[in-house]
Amino acid sequence: MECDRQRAALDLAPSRDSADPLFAEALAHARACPPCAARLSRRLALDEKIRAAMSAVEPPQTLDTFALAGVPARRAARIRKIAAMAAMAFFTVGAAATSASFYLSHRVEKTPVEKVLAMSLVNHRLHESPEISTPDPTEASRWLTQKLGAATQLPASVKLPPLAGARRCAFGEKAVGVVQFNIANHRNSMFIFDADEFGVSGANEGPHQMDKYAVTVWSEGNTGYSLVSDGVSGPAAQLVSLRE
Amino acid sequence: MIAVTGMNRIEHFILPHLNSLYAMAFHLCGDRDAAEDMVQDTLVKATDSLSGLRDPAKAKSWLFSILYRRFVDEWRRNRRTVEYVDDAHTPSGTDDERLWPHDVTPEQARQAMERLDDKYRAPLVAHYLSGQSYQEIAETMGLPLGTVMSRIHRAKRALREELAAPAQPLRALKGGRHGM
Repeated sequence: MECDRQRAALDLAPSRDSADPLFAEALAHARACPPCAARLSRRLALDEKIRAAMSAVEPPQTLDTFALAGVPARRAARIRKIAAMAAMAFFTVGAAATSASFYLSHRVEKTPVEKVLAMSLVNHRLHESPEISTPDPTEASRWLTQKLGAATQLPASVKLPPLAGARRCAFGEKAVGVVQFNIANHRNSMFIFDADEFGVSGANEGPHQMDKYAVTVWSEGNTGYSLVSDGVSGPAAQLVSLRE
Repeated sequence: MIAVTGMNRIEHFILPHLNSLYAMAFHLCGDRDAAEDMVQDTLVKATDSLSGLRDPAKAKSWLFSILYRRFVDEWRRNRRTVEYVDDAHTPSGTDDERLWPHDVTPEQARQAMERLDDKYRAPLVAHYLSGQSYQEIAETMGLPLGTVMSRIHRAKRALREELAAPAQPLRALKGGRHGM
């Protein structure tokens, strides 16, 4: 009878050693009652198996990119912070000269560039491994075209070194292409996307320094490109020379 | 520099828990796309209030509580029916522990959870995955502690019965969506 009375509390007790007074009486009962103690043990073990099974849901491969890219895309305040950081970097790194109006003009009028910058930076930081390893830009372009279902052209204005490979990623809810390569032991990710879709047609910005990264965004025809490089001194200079 | 510091905090405190957040969202809403959206919403909200996270060791339960509260808010907005539920009622069946399953696969867990009504599944998912106490779950749901404990108790029994005999429907606890 006492076992029946304590059963519900024992079925809810979070552990054998719970300090919650709600379960004190039931657990004290279990310590003196081997059948209830055994049931409690089995129940806790089963709960653990259920918990493990529930935790084993396979997330989508692009979950982190999708979730994080949504942050700057949907939070204007956050975008402004990143833009402000880019602007600060611009004023600091005078050598990376474009236009002194970068900060104001982009903050007010060219938020899409800031979004692309933010998404590129986040994605670069999160992903190191390409889906396909190839040094050949043509092969990478062909692979991306096939996988993305849209022509993916590498930029004519950049003299690409041998690639590490290519992969896909998500800018918001859109899949875009990425080619990866190294310059002077610094990792670089070049993102390739529809310039109109992301509102960066005609853009030609950078390189800018964002913390320990150098970033740039530009378009060629209908294709938009963003480039993120580890490091800011050597690689930043390399970025400039790449875009002759 | 502030933004990068913020980004580092996101990487350290949020990213390690993304998959767990997704698992919880998936079991709550039963839909992969909706789960992804829910995780994204959680990140947006978490990013806004990241500075309020005092103890990094509690980042996981903090994130889970944001996600769970978002789910509960959504449920409240979409609630179409109000039904009387006798939460003190003891579920039918013997809950014979000899029939408890020895193993549980992710697919079995998913199917069994899917068959639970929202009002039972939501607190049960929070109980198993969020690390929240019964009291915290009750506060988030805006329900009395006793009601939450009763629902979790009933849900656990139903889940065990379902896992023991997957072919049996959960008649007692299946009242349709939005019946919390």
